Formats: sequence, structure tokens, C-alpha cells
Amino acid sequence: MKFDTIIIGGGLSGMTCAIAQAQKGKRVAVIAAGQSNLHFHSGSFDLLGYQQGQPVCDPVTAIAALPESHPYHRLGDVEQLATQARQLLADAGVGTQGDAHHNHFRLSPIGKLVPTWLTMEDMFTVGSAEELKGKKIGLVNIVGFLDFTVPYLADALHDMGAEVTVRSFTTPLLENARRSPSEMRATNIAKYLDDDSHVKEVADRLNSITPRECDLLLLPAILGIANDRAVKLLKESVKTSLRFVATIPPSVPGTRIQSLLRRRFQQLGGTLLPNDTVKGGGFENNRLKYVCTENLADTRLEANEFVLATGSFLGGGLSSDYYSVRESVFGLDVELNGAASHVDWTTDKLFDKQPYESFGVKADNQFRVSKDGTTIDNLYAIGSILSGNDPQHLADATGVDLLTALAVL
Amino acid sequence: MSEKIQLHNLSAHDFEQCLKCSICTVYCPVSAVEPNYPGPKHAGPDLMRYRMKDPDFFNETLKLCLNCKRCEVACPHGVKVGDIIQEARIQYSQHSPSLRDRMLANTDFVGSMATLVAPLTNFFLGLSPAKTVLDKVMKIDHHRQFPAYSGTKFETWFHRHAEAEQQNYKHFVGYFHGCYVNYNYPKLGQDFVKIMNACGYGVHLLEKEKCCGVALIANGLSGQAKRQGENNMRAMRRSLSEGNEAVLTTSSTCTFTMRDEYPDLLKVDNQGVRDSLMLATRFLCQKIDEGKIKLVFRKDYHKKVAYHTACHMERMGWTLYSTQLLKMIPGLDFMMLDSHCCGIAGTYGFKKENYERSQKIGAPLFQQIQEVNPDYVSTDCETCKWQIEMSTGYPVMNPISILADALDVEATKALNQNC
Repeated sequence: MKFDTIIIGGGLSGMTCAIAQAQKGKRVAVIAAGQSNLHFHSGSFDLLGYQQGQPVCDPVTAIAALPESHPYHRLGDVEQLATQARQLLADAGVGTQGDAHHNHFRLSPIGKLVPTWLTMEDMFTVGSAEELKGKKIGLVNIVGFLDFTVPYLADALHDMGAEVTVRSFTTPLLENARRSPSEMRATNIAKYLDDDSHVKEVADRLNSITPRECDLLLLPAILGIANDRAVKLLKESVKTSLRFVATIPPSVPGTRIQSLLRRRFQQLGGTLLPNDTVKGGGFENNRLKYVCTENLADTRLEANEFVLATGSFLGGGLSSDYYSVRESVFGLDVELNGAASHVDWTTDKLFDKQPYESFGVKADNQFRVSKDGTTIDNLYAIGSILSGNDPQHLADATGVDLLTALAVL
Repeated sequence: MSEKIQLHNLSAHDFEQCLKCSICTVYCPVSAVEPNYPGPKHAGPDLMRYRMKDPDFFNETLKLCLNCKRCEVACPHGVKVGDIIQEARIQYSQHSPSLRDRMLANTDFVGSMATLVAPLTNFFLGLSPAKTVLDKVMKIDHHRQFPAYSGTKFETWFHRHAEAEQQNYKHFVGYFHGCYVNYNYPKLGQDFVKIMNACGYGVHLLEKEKCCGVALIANGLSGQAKRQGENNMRAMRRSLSEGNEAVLTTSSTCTFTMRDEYPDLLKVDNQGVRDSLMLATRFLCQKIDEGKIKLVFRKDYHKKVAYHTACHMERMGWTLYSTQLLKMIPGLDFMMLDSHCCGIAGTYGFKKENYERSQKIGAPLFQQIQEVNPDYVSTDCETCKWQIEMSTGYPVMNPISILADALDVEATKALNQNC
């Protein structure tokens, strides 16, 4: 079966690339082995959050100071790509707030202010910690919902100078949802509440428990699993200003992003294979001609160009045993930044920079990969399968995903 | 030293790969509507560890599982969550199938009896008092419309009207028709034969085909399912050894059951058969790709079709064969519905205690279909067809039936004559 472009991997980078190519009129297929890392998504996208341990103010400018090995250096016009990425998300139904020259802060599930580039509309953000001084905040949770760490959040907001009042509420529907305590998760709540009458019930409760003087109500992100309709309806129905804070996963905003990207791709005529693994492919004259998958067996999928967006160790794009680190699909050349043996892959302290986090495939300035030292002309790598990024210490993961996805091809 | 280190995962259904990420729970159709269901992660790999120590940890809420396998589709790490749950039910459930469950599951027996007196059966099943009796006595929900039974079984039609001329062809395929085609809707089987014949392929039925057994597995009758499975594998091996290039099907669930549930759950060996057992849409797609078959479509065919991905179809990963074929029809305005369980899950939705849940599960799909307002919905699963027709009123056609409708038979025959 023939396509123009085949993308291996259905996460943020794979789907973004797929949508961009489909918008150009190409026939695109995406092969995904399972659902993606987006299900742990914070609701925010990061270009560059930290540098040398310090929060970054202006990510576009700070990128210039990154080491040469960082994928951002192969991009071209970072600012233009960032604008393109934001537009692509908006066109898919993911509206965002933010500025590529000026990071704002999101609130992590345990109350830390984390610098970030774009945050989904309706999620809570601040320009700086000082903004919260003297603000009267109503921190609200649903009775029995354990994935929202109210004491940590209340303490963190209080430390920033806010006056915090904690409230909780329930409705008959939500009380029913507690029957299986292990299943009262953000995504299940979002599905139960995906109904106008239930949202209105929640709104009534919120209106009745809001403290008299309240600037802002903060709720866990438990609305809007497939689109933001329920979010908008709640905001309209509640008298006080209302924003959402990320919960412990599974993430409702992240699930929404995945659903919206998938829908957009299929609307553009793209073909998705949502439960398949590429087993290998046929190479000829330094080009990839076709791939074979687990489910399609002897059916070959041919294309003019292929994109590898398989993620790092978590996504399965990279795999390892006691002896080696491998790129899982084709055995492409990997960049281990000088690590000689497995003792060099990690450092002792868990939260220090771990060498393996920057492992990935070797790629040239056009993001083309190589196998046994030879560049493959039509096989590109994007996202966290690339070497040189550092998600934990730089907070650059989603920026690398989005921008490399748009820069390639 | 390395001999003592386990380098590869050896656990049943890969349950040790489970990261506890909970993504399976996000996509479980039952978890979306039923707080009493422990969810796939908990019912599957979590509780498996406890059940391995003590079977007492099994509980009957696992029967709320639809066996849709969407948890497996979602799992980023290849854990066979659905299989873990089904195997636990097979291994530990003490629940004895009721008469109702046996009747719903024994499609061959009920189908044969019903077709003998089909007009009476259909009339009876449509009467309100009869439905009330089925509801109160058998706990088969009175909202459910039973699919009509055909007066003549597909097999009978085939032997009388089609079998003789099948030997005029140079290439052959076997056909596993399944219960739906045989007892309820022979037209789908006729459509299949029409297409294969137009492409230059003769069709052979299997010798003594039996129900694939998916309903038997779901209703606690896996012993019987295994016997029927072994019978079917014998029949298919024979068919493949007699010059049939493949054994084709027109039902996604039957295909998935025989290819995957047989070895994974029933320990029925299907080696030598599995690779040659496939949906007709896969076979046609591959042959067209290889240039061995050509299809010509009528110029006057214009329909808007919305495609629904059945759960087992998504699990098999073969949706694109059916959708690629539909997209080949020039007059067909194709639209892909969001992939969402319809809620019926075979015999599950017929049971009174499940009916409301089934309808809640399918509600978002039904709503999207209303919004799209197609001429037809198309899907490869017959129970999805019943559910969507009953719940939305829109007609549903298998892709094979749409292809047969749109096919210019004479032109196709002419093009395939020299293959």
C-alpha cells in the first residue's frame, strides 16, 4: 500500500508532523504502537524552561546559548516555527496562552511554579510569583478525589502571599463515582461530567460554596476529555473567575490534546493505524522503500519519505539491555555522548542529570538518520528519539517535539 | 553470571510490562460509565498478582468487561490486559451459565431452530408480550430488537444456487460465513460470492463449519468453544490443502476470535491456518496492490458513507483494508467516525442487567452519526450493525455489501478474465 509520507509513532511529534504534511495535501499514514506520553501531559508546552539550573525568561533568545548538540540548533527560524506550532494546535482545537519571548509559570500538581511557553486556555498561570500577593483564592476539590494534592497546593499558594480558602464539594453523580476508589481518576470524572446537566450541577455547587470575597477559584483539571465544551460551559455558569490546575495523571488536558490531534488528522484525510508496531523495513540505495508491521504481516507499506517519531525509552523508540542501547525499529546509529559501557549511562543521584536522558539517534542538519555510518536519504527523526535534548533539566521536551515535527520535510 | 539474569520478559500476557500508567483505564468504555467496574488496570494486571497467590481475589465484577480489547490497543507497553481479564474469568469464575446465557451463546442451535420457522420466529420476537416474557423470565432486555432470522440458511442457498458454477474458476478461496450470514443475513454472503466471482475466484464453503465461539467464551462456556474451535481449525486446514488460497471471512469479530482468542485464551493451535485466515477486505486489498485483481465501479453510484471501527477491528489493526477499499469507489463520499465502542459487545447488550450501560457506552457514537447524517454507516461487525441500526435508525452495511452494490460486475469480470 502506498503513501506519500509514513510516520512511525503517534505521540505529540508524530501527530504534529502528520497534520502538517496532510495540510500540504500529502497522503499520510501514522503507525502507533499504543497511546502516547501525552496522557501524562501538564497542559503546557515548553520551549526552554531552565538553563544552568536557573529559570529562563526569554526562551527564544536563550536557545542560542545551548550546546551545539541540542536539536534546536538544526531548526532554522525558531520563532517562526514556534508561531506555526501554536497555530497548528489552535486549528486542531487546542487554544493556548503565552509568548515565545517571555515564559510564564504554570502550577505543577504539587504546587511548584514551573516556567513554560504555552499553556492551554483555562489552565491556571501566573506571570510571576508576586502576582499572587494578597489574592483571595478558593482552592476547591471534589470529595474523594485523591489525585489533587490540596495541602501541597494550599501551602505553595500561601507561601506566594495568597489568602487561600480550601473547599470541597460533591454531587450525587460524583458521590456515585467513588464506588470504585481506584477508579476515581481525573479522566473518568471528565467522562462522567461530559454532560451539560452534570456540569450545571457542579456549577451550582461551586456558586454556593465560593467564599464571600474570592478573586479566583482553582479546580483540578477534570473537565473536557475530548474537547473544551464542558470547560467553557462551567466557566460561563460559575459567577467567580475560574481556572484549572493539573492533576496527577492520567491527564485530562493531555487526553484532550491527543483526541483533538487525532481527529484533525483524520479530518484532513490521514490514515491512522492505532495498534501496530513496525517490525522492520526494506532499504535500497540508502533509501527506505517500505516498512512491515506486526498486524499487516506481508502487506508492505511504501512511501516516498518516512519519519521516525518513536520517542525515547518510555515510548519504546530506544531500548536497552545490559550491553547496549539500540534504536528499536531499524537498528539505526545511536548517539551515546561518549558513554563507553552501561556504568556510564546513569549517575548515582536520581535527580542529577542522567546521561541516558540525552541518548537518541544520530541525525544530520536535515534530521536524517544513519545506519552503519551511512545517511538514509528519506528517513527522518523527530521528537524525543533525537539525541541531545534534556527534558528533566532544561524542560525542552514538548518544544523539541513540536518544532522538529514542523522543521522536517 | 548472565545465565542467572532474566533478560527477557517471561510473564503470561506480558503482565510484568505493566507500568501502572492507567492509560488503559482512559480508553475503557465500561470505566467511562460504570463506577462499579474496577477498570482494566486493576481487574487485569493489578489483581492478577493477587489471584496468582489466592484465587479468592477473583470477583464477579470482571464480567462487566466487554472484551472489547481497547485496553490492549491503548497500552503503550504491549500488556494483553483484555486477555488477562478473560483468562481470569475462564480460570476462576464459579458462576454457572444460566439458560439465557446458554441460549444467547449457542448461535448454531438457536439459529438452526429459528430458521426452520423463521416467519413465526420473527413475528413472535417482534411482539410486545413476547418481549415482556423474554425480559421478565429470561432477563433479555425488552428494548432489544432481535435481528430477523432468514427463511433459508446461506449454506442452503449456496448449495442450491451457487456451488455448481464455482468450479468454473481458476483460483479459489474458502469462506467461513459465520452465524450471522448463515441464519440472519445471507445477502452478505451472496455479496461476497458476487465480488469474488467477478474477480475470477471460485468460493468453497468449509466442511462442517461451526460458530466461531466468541459468545460461548463470553458466557462461561469455553470448553464448548474450544471443541468448536478445534473443529473449525480442522475444516480450515483441509480447505487450505485442497487448493484454496486463503479462508476469507466477512465478520471482524469471528476473524479476531479465530486468529487470536483461539491460541491466547482457548489454547487451540491455529498454526498453519492463522496467516491464511483473513477478512475478505484484506485479501482484496492485497490482490489489488499486487495487480492481480482489478475492480470497476458503477458510474451512477453516489453515497455518503460514515465508517465505524468495530472494537475487534481496531484490535486486529486491519481497519485500513476496509477503508482503503471503500475509498476506491469514485462516487463514495467517505467519512471516518471517531473510533468508539458501540456498546453492544455481542450478547452482552442483550442482557437486561447490561442494557442501560450498553446504551450509555454507545451514546457518543450515536450522537456523532446523527450529526454526520450519512446515507449509510459501514462497519465490519454484525452486532455493531444491529446496535447502530436500533439506536440511530441509520442503515448499516458491511464494506463487502457496499462494494457489491457499487461494483460494475460485467466490466470487472472482463478486466479480470486474463488473470
